[in-house]
Amino acid sequence: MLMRITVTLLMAALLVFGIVSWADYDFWLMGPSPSHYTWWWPEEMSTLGQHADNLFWLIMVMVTVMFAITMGALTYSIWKFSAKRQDKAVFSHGSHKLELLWTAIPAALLLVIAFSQMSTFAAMQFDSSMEDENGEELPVLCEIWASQFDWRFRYPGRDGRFGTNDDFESAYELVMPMRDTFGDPDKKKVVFLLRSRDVLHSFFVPHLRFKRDAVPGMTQRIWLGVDDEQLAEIMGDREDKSFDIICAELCGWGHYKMSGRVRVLPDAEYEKWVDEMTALQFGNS
Amino acid sequence: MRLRPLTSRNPFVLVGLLVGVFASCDYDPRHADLSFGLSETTMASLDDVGLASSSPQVSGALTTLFGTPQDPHYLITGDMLDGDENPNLAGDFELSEEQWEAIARDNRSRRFLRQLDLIASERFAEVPEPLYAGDLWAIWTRDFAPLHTGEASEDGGPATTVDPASAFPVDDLWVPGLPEDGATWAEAARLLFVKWYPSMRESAEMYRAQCLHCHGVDGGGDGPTGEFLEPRPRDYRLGKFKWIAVENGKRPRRQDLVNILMQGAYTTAMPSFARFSSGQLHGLVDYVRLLAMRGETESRLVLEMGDSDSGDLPLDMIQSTYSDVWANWRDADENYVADDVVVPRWDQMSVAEQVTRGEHGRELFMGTLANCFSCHGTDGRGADAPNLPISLAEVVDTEDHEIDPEYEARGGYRWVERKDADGQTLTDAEGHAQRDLYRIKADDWGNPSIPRNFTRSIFRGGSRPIDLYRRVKYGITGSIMPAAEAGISDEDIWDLVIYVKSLANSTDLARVYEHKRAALAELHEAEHGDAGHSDDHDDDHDDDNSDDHTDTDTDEASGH
Amino acid sequence: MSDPNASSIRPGMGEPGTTRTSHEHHELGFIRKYIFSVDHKVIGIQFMLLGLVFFVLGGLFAMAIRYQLAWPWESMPVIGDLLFPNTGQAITPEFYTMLFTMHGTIMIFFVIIPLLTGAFGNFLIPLMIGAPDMAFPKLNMFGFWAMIPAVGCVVMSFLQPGGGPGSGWTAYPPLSTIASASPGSLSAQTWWLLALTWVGFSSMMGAVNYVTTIVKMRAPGLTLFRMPLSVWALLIAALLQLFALPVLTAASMMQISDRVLQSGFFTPTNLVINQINPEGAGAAAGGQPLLWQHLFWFYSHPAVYIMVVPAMGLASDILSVHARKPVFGYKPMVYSMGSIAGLGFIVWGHHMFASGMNPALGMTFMVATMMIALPSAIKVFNWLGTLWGSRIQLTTPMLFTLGFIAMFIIGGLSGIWMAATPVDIYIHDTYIIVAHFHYVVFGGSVFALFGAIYHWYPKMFGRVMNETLGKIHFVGTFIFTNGVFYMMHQLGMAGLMRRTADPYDYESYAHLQPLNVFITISAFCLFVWQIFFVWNFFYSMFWGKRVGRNPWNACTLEWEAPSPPGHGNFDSALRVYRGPYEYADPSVEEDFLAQTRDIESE
Repeated sequence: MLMRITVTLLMAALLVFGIVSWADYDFWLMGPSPSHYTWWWPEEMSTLGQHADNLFWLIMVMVTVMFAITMGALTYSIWKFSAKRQDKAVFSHGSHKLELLWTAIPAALLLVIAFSQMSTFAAMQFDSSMEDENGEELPVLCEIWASQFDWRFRYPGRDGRFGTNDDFESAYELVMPMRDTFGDPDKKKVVFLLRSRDVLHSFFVPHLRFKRDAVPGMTQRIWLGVDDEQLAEIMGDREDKSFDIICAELCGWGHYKMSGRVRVLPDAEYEKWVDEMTALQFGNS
Repeated sequence: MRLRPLTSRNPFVLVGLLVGVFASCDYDPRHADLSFGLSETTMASLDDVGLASSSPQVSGALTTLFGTPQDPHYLITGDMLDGDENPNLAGDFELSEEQWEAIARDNRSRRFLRQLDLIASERFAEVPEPLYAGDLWAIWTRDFAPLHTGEASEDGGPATTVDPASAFPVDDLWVPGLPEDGATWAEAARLLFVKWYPSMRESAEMYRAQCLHCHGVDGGGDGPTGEFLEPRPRDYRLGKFKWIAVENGKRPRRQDLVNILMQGAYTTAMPSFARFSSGQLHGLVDYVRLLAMRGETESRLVLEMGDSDSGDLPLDMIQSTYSDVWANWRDADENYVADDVVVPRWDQMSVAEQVTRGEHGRELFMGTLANCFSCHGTDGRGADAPNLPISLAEVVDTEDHEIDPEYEARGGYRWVERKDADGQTLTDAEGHAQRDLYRIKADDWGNPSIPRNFTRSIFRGGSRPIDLYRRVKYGITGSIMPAAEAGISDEDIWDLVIYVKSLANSTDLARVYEHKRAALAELHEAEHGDAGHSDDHDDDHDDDNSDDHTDTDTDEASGH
Repeated sequence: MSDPNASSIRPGMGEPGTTRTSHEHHELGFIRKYIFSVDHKVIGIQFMLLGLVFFVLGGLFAMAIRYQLAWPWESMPVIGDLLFPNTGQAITPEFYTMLFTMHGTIMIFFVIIPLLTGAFGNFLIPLMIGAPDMAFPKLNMFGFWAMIPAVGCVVMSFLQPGGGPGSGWTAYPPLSTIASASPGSLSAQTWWLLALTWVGFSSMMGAVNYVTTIVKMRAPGLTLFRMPLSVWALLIAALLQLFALPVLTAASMMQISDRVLQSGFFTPTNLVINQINPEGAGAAAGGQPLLWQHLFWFYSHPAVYIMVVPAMGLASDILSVHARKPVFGYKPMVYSMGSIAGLGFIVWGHHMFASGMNPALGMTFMVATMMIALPSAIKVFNWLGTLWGSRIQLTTPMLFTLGFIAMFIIGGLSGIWMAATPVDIYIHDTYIIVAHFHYVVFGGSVFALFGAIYHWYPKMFGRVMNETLGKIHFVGTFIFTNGVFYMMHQLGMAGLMRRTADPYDYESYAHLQPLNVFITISAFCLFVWQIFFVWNFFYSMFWGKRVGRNPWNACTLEWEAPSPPGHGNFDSALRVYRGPYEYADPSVEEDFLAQTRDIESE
């Protein structure tokens, strides 16, 4: 009896705890977030992040329902069908109908999820997402170099060409324009080249829901897009609108130290920044 | 034999057991003390003069002067007092307006962002402890207790939570940067964080977590991770630093060290620490300077002891050594080489002018005045060149010399084939190539001082033109790269720099570089129809960019 | 006549009429009986002891990892004193890389796989199918003893300069192949690869044995669809090993070749790490790091099913016995396990969505991964169906199996987010992944293992484990397991990366330390709580209550043999009349109807 109560309570606690914590993440917030970081994910501010987040919530709904049903059935069974109460169990080997039912429904749900996300994924990773309307490749803003244990960003300078004398380098901080003067979200994409100097690293920007491994020997075209309205909403009160870059693939003992920042500037200020950096490049400090 | 479990009958004991287990977990991790030691060189030197038993004296002297890792501080001597100097408050005295502004700005928007936001919304009790801020936190918990705990402060003040708008007791408590006409509690709380400059203890804590495993407790570059790194981490104890903006052999200024922390030394394991705020970086620099001064004092004391040949360390000897070392460092900022250097704007120069200057640079590179080629090779590949430039190495007699395996593992030895006048390899009777063993000269830290291969575009001190200018003009302190001779003008140096950068702009290894050189020569010939033109540099060429993007090779960051 | 209930782990001399595989009439010496034995039961127990010992070692590594995450760079007890005198007794970052590498390696290759397939596979298969021993007893013995060189290689890897291997259990090149990339890649990594190769040999030998035994040596009347689900699960796991392991072995040979023979399978051109250019030193290049990832995950994804499918089979059996009800949907259960295994071969790319591989591949792997959620879900529903209308006895094996179901539900459901590629981009390599696989492997496989140990212990040793200690063990383990791993989902949502020795300097992670402290304390409690199990296990072996052949009143064939079974297992040849789960059959008075019971002739 005691064991039955204990175990039922344990399972029930898991059930309630699970549903509450996942369904209402406010439960876990440490109060209003002055520094934008809570126990939930950081607010996304990318042009495509909403889709990924919506997919997450769609799956969340499904999973919560599934969790409630299964854990509920488990808890109930432990409570009701105890050996003390029953003389003999029901002699059943199964039910074809039920099998069909609980095969078909989850299968349908899974297929729905699978096909609904394909366009988002294509928009995230396919090369075609980095072409303009004429099918030309979008120009590259800078090269992202991952190395042990640092991020360096190599800008082509005013002439837009790499390997010339006006190139400059930024350590730690990737500065990108907001493209706030572009109305169309598609046009907000900023293209980068992701490269590694030595071993595998991974370029992870939580706020933009972006992650890609930097593979030595491979140059990958990637894009980041910032939704300026969301940026203003989330970071409007901060002096510098920047957020973390984190290395997401084990690259050696310094993997944990490999931090960087993405700083987003309105277009006009970005142009000023390029001028400043060029001046710094030819400065004498 | 049967043991009856305690809980076999009473279930609440089981629950109690679990609760007790959890509740008793108030674990406070141990924070073992560190202690400074003496370097191997010191111990060896003392041994040489038979004074090994005097090492505790040296340790004791250093502890008096510089403290321990738990409590690092400078001993204030009478001279310092007279001269109104306080190295323990170096931050206060040495920082410029600009640097202070940067610190305050970083404190506001990065370092203490969460704390300041909570203070601004008057949620004082929720302010969390910041990392590496033990002294600051002590002040907050002790002096600002009335704000966040509702307890009386030490001097028996009010027992209830104090009104944030009430006046802060300026006479009893101290907060940096408090205005003269006083402030409210809330303002004082804010100032505490905004104006905070890390104490030496806090910086030592940060050093312990971030730097110690490579740079070692004493700053000797001998931390446990250090032995797996190439190049080794800097040994501060010589007081020499390479990537600085002062004359060869002089102490670095504060901003130089902060710059290294900000930029890292790219292509080494020293990363950029820009994720920390300005204040933290300055604090770390304070601690590194302490370690450097300690190391220098240690080696000088040992020298003096050796000279005097007794095991004694008379007080005046200690005092004078200490003062000398401090004087060097105190004045380090004055070593800054003039900031009226004007950097030529190559990005605004015409191609023709860049070509001319690059050619002149090449001539200097290959010439006997600058002698660059004698270490860096005629193709700029330095120690990677197949023909080892001789002046950077010494021939060793393989019978006499015992090869140091560690030096060898770090690339300190080279076998070089002997060649005759036509460039053919000489062979001995059995047809094996004749070769000599060369030992590359060591730098001041005992590492092989390997001349840079420019084609890999490795520029650890920064790849901007001014950085390269400084390397050429002032050499690299501690390594075998000398300062420029008197006969080389600034114009010459800029031309050398543009040539070196053009070597680095080639994005491939030498064999591909050869191919590029040939192709560029053809292109040049086709464009200018002049076979005599030098074609060694590729600066503003169109085909550079296509290589950068479509090359599947792993390229070094070209030119940076 | 030797007493079948003799209290020892000695397989006794065969009694008159015992089916024997060989005509041994002389008493075997100690070495032949317990050390170099060809008896599947002894080998099974040898695997079990190996697995349990390494469980403790792997757990200690986990404790060190947790300590570092809760209190970065503080003085670590024991290890700090012994190994790091110069850093204030704090561990170094490269030591941390070794910790998580070896924790993963040990847990997967030296704990779960030996315990599930080595211990229970060996012990149960012949007993459950009515065979006197495995098809190839000597091969079986070699299979166990191949683990010993593997252990030796692991020990050697710790003794190398640079400490142990530090490129993760996933060993991605070039970090793992280029010596200058990581201290652990000096020579420790080569020993690690050799250890993996030996483990592979061991598993392959076992797998060949299991498949042959199951296919060829079943008792008369025991058709394939009358086998207990444990046997099906072990058969399917053996098939998985047979087809997947050669790829891992080939891949590790390739990596050894890259490291030792200077080949360039995984080394791209123009690579310079820590000033060393492998090509300059004469190595080949032109390789692809991604190639390793594909080869590795082609094995390692089926490997995770090797770790889970036998646990599912064991759990189904225990569930049925202790709930006194047939398994709901026997054939669907079999087909689900088969489709998990089959689909398991085409989903490996879901570990590589962010790796830079062709996104079109990513699409196909995503669809396949979504589909593989389905058979696992079916199994969960069938377990629930088994429990519904049953007569649950909350014995320790049952408790652990219920815990298994609960935690497998959580682990399985969190996998759905990982299958959704746009979401996986965010959660890849975060603590959500860690939470997911620990729920399925610890909450799933280990709980099932505990249940199985409690359940089959009487058969192995002739004595039963103490119930009360078992229940205490369960309650604490359940609570603390959830305390450790549930909040890891939360950490992962905040974006906390895996394999980071000190994350708190990042703005994104600065506030996560208290949560990590909570997890660490739970982990310490979990580790210490296992003392109840360890004590119970060894105490009961010598002083536990003795039981007869069938203490649980179960139907399957192993309970016909004496406890512990003697040489040749059964008193006489068995004949099987029905399926394995005939509980609560109304046609008999008892609530179970054994497989071998001949009702007609009664």
